[in-house]
Amino acid sequence: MVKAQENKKKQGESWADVLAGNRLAVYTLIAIVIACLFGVFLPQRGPGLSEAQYQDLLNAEGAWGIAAKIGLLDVFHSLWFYGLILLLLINLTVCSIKRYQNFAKFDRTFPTEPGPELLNRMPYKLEFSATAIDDATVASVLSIKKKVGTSHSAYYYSETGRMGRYGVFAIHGAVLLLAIGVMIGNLFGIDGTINIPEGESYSTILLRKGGAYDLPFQVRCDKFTVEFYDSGQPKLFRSVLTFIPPYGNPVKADIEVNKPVAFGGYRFFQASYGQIPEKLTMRITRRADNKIFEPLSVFAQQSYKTPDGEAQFGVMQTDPDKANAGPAAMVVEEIPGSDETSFWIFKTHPEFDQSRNGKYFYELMDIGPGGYYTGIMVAADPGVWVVWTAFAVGFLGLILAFFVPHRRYVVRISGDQITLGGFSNRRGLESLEDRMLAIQEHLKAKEN
Amino acid sequence: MEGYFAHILESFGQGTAASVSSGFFESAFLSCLISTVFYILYLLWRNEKVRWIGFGLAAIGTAMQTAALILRWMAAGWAHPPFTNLYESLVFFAWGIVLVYLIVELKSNVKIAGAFVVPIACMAMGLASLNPEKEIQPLLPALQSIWLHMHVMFASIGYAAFLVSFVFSVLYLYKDGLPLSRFTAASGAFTVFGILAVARAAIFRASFLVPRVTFAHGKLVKIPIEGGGPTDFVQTEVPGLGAIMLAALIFGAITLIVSIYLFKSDPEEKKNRTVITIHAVHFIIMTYVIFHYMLMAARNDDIAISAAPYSFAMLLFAWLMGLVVVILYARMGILKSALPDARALDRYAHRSIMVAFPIMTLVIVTGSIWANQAWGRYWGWDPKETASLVTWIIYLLYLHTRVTHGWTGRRTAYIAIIGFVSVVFTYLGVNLLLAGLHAYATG
Repeated sequence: MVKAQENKKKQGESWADVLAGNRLAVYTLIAIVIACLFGVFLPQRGPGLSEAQYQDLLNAEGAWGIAAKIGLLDVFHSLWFYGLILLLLINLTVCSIKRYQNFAKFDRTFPTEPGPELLNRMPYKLEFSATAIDDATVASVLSIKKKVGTSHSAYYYSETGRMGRYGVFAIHGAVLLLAIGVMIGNLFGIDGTINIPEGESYSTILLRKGGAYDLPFQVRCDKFTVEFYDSGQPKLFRSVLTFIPPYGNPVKADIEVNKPVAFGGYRFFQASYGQIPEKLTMRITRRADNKIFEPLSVFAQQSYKTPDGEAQFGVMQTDPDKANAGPAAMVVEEIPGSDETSFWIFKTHPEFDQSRNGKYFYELMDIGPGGYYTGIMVAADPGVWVVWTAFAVGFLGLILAFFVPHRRYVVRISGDQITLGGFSNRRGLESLEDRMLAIQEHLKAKEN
Repeated sequence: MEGYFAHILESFGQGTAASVSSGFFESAFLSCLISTVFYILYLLWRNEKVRWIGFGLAAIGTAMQTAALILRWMAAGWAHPPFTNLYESLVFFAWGIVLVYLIVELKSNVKIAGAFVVPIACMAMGLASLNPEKEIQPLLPALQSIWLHMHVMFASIGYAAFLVSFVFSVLYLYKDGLPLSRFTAASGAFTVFGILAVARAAIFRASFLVPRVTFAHGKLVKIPIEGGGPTDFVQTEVPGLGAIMLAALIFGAITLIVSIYLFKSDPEEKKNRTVITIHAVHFIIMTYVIFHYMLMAARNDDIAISAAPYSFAMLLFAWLMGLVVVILYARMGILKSALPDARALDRYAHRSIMVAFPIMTLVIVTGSIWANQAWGRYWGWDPKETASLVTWIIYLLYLHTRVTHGWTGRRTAYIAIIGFVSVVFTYLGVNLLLAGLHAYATG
């Protein structure tokens, strides 16, 4: 019963018509899908490509260079992608306005009195005969809004799902609202990370989009703990933070994964953690000429050159009390032309390494504390509530638009001749014709 | 087979919630497999008793799966519902498929779709049971949230409903008289795509590589490459399989090319016998691919299908598509008369999408809320997020063209099929081909 509408471009169509058209909406959505496919299948700047790799490709010759230059390797931040979104937003806005005007016009010209004129406006009609149909019978299957009785026939008017036709406005409005929310986030939001070693307090965030941002207060990490499952996977990370504003009292807060805290308009998320190697102070003596070099500061787990540049060494591990002899460090030394050797040196027994008779003599002067640093993500997104509102409005709109069809019915009863007319703005779960047939069945069943 | 029964009995015998759960699950798998056999027999014999046996077995399977899921939840100490990793998600997906289908079968007059839907649920279960990470795992901190549980639950139900709409759309096209060459073309194309996706460039050297496995601590493990990333494993070649797959690829391509050639030149469908013969050759080779792969996995200790479950699923899916096309051709008269009229099939497809689409919307919404909680951003364009948006837009176009342009029939059926391809990609393809933030990607 429903015929496909004319899809070809009509002559004399204005730009406003094109912008409001469903065709533009469909093509724009298809273009967005294609853009997304590029975004899925090609490595993207950020998650798939590091900044250096991206810059290399940008300057490269050939297919990859072209792909990078036209934004295919950073689809979701490219100008043309923003352009597509903008086109969609304009389409939705113009389309909604036009639709609203059409509704208003339709309602103005729609007959309000049930009668032959109203019945004529119904595109679908069923005619059948049934006897002894009265008000109560009709009311048992349709909610009667209005009844007009003439000398030989009675007209009933019924309307359902009026809310349904506002669904489309809710959906279009939600998309606009979503765009506004995202824009607020992009313009006024802060998104970055801050790594704080235990006991230290920092205030500078490294922003995800590059650059740094200073919080108007200090954040101190008092303690960081990580718990593990038996399998070795991390179970829980927790940071005890103190926020120290320039004026006023410091505020203490615990954060865990999925349990962020808010302070001063910013939200703090437990994102990662890491270990800071111990910092050691060492002194090296070259035995050949008893040359004593200046004391050095070194970090564990890193490789260094000896001050004369002739060999490499590093501290592999440390022990606060090795073999009951106090703090110690395990040194690995690599002298060109001979094998790598490793040995322990002790803070409280500086002479100990003498007995090794190596090319160099190492003394451990001090071991600074190592420990954890906590990786905290800082976000301030004033647009997030706009986004949630958009989600809620949009979902409501979807339900209204697709599940609540707006329908009007007219029933004419003249003697035992019944005419049922129906009108619908769209197909619901149950199509209009099914519903009309069901009404017919119901009326016929009541005749006895 | 005996070993399989013994394995099930042993699971029940151990008596812990986790082992009884896995016993129920394996029994449900078996029950659905036998149900598939009855549904296929029903296609051939049209005997109502046979259909009811198929229905009953599938219903029993669903009941046992329900028990398995609840016990699994219990075994995790009620700490998190059982949809946290790919194994659990697949089990839940299979459960959703059978449940949704059984309701559709009771409520509608489409009685023959069981032969198409239940085997897909079996595949999901089979894939789950091949997945090496079956143990109930503690949740990583980033995954502990009520929003995640809702996200995964909605995804499994929504994808199951999309699957049902896909089956109805295919049956619609069939009933509507879409030429056979279109079906053989789709089957050939999927074989070519599937083989290229799983074997990639190695296939042109007539070779098929899978991660080598070894026994350690009583379970099969893959061997990581030293200094490689978390997904780099030592590879081994499955003897002889590459050459057979290459043959399947070539015959799949021939099927595709001949079918496309017939699109225009054979509108009367006079060459159906020719095209089905070519298709049958490709299908027989595909059958041998599956058989040979399983044989080699059984014979060689360092080859296990579970080491590359997605690859096997892809091959199995290609094979299943070939089988469906053969059945659709061989029993054309009977099948077409058994199906309700095309308009009803079109409407069933529409209804399933109308149910699935709001659920899919909730999948994205709950996912965003969760991402915002865990990572401080509601949208980050990671491949899985983007793929789910693509799926959403495709089904939006389906509803939009239907509601405002009055599109019905073939055009919307094609959109529904493209939409389901996108669902499969979102659900499994992203994990097979790409890695992102989503935890399943490591499964």
